[in-house]
Amino acid sequence: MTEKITYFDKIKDIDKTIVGIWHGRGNQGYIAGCSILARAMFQLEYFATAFGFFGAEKGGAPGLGFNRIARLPIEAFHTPNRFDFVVILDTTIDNLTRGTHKDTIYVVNTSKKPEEIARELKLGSARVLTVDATGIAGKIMPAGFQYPNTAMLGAVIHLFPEVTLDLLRTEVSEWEPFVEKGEKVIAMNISAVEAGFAGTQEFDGRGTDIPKAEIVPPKPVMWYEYEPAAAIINTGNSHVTKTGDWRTERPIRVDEFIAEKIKAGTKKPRCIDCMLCFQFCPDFSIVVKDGKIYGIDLEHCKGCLICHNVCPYGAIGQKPEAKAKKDDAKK
Amino acid sequence: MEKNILLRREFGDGNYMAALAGVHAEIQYSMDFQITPDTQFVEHLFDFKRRGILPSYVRTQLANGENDAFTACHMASQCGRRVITGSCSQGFGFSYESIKSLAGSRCPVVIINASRTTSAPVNIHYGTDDAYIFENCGLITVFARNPQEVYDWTLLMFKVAEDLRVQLPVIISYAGFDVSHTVTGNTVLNEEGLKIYRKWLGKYVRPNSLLNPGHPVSLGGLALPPFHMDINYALMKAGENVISVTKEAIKYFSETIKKVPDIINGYKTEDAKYLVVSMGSDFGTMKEAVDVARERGVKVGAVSYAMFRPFPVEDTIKMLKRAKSIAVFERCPAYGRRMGIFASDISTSLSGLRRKPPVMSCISGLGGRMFTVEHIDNIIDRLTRPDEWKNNLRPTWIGVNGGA
Repeated sequence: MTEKITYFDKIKDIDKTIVGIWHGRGNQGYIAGCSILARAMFQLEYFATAFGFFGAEKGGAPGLGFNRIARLPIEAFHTPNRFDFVVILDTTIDNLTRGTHKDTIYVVNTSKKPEEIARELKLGSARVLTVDATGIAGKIMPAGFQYPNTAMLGAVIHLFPEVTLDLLRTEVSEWEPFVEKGEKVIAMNISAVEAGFAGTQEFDGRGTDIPKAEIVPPKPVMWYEYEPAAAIINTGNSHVTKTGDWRTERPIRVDEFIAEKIKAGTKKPRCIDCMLCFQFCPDFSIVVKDGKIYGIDLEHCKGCLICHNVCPYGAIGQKPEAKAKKDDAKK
Repeated sequence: MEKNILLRREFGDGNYMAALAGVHAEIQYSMDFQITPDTQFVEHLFDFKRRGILPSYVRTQLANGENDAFTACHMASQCGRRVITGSCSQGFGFSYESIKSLAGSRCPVVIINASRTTSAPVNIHYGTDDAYIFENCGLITVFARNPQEVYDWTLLMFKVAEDLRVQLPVIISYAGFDVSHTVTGNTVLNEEGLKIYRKWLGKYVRPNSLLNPGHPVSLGGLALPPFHMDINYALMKAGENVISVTKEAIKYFSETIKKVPDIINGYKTEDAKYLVVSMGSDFGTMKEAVDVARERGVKVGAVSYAMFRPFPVEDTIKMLKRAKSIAVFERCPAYGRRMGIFASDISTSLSGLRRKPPVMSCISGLGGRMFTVEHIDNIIDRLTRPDEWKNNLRPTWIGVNGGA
């Protein structure tokens, strides 16, 4: 898509504040993303704020970023609950349609076509933009540093025609954390911005029959239903909370990987059941059966790789979670 | 945005603005300990030192805990150094002894407070109960509503605190996360503006400094019954000068450099019959609620207090006496008292009036709980029927599941 499709043009004629939300996971750069957008608006003499609502302080944990953009000074600082645009950096996050209304516009990080992802995520009959920000970051940036936020910004500026590609290039090159890391990093991010801008696809779902995911708010707990001091009186809470989806790197038992060669006798198994990984795992995600290491509990493993680092025999390796999921799907 | 030859634009959040204000005010010492959501203030300050923006004679140190940090800042101030530091919530609790002593020792330290609810249970979000910890300790306390005001008040308060008629520590309190982590565009002083500001601020001259060999003094003494009360009276009397000195500073700064907020700020209060009062960043929500209620025909106005301690009694009487009834919102719980602390201050300030407006004390937004325009609109509606609530024996809690 090379032409700009105007969505929030002429913000200066609008009396209300435009509110946006960014859904992302830790380490995807959603805070930098919404901050750079706010800064670009600031250069255009609009008033803009950007802030986040953090989840757990770990890469992979879902979190939110917010933008407020207006032509008059912004005085509201509380968390908003009604959004005019939704930026989705990771489609596996829950509750993506919360706070949206019939004119909300979605910008989604996916390699799928816009109509397909709108149906899959149940975004309702809305306008949807997509860009393969993860793919772009994967091509441009080195492994371990593939942040999709700048490619996403290239797509997001389609919503704001006054934010030109040139302005965004300037903003990205002046963003302090990038400047500190040097010219190469700035250049990579600018390429990502340009690729994101060019690679955006659009779908107008208004008037179609795409279902919308209903957000069921959790039932509020009454004040008298709490134990004194909010003591948690039932056991097994960590087991019920599945944190496996926070993982960005998956630990792989090497012996499972070379299982055929071990059977054939050409390689020896590396694991000797010394139990160091089991002792060091902070999430009790190394599963032991009959005194032997059985496997890794992928529903709870957060991918900290302490097991990989502590194993003296190199029996635990690692694989990026996205690749591991793809390989699982192939099997 | 102002086009003023003394100003330039800067993009940053509340914590960044606080650190920048410290740099602009030419601080000489800081010892800090990090605590969410204040951590980035410490990081920015130390970053300014690393990048050479704070000159090399400025010492920035990381402490072993907030108690150490505030004790070291206390000592540095007694040695005649201009000090800024920051903490919140449990950090304030941990260093209560050190911080309270700052007042009695007359140390004009500026304490940045990215406000966070105190435990138990543990919470990291916005609640003003940490700013209230020191409400009766002789410290000046001001509330900033956005990152711009954090910058403005910090610059002003260095001048006010170091004034010889005052010499008291200051707490600059602003919402944790809502203001401390919200990046927005601000105007700050450029080179020209800094020259004028620094000339007006001057150097910190402590009358009795520990590091003056030509004039040796002993500080931090013991005051037994024949002495303590009178020394405390002198401290109280210094507090009486704060409001007039602050107004002088506001007047000079507004006329010479740029407009800064007043001690009490109002919105649509000229013809208001009912008033909703708050401190800090809730003002934005209050304004929206006032507009909604006015569309229904209710003549309501919003009042925002910037200065909490010393409480501006005379200004309160002037601004609030004509209201038919007043609702006061605060983000600090009130236990075992008829009204919240802020509401009590307002109610007692108005207590001498022949027709005293009834005051509804509302406890809202604790632990970062969302509190919305609908909640405030509901209260504004109840303001029109004071007989329903004016004999309540405890505050109204807003947004509690199953309670009120």
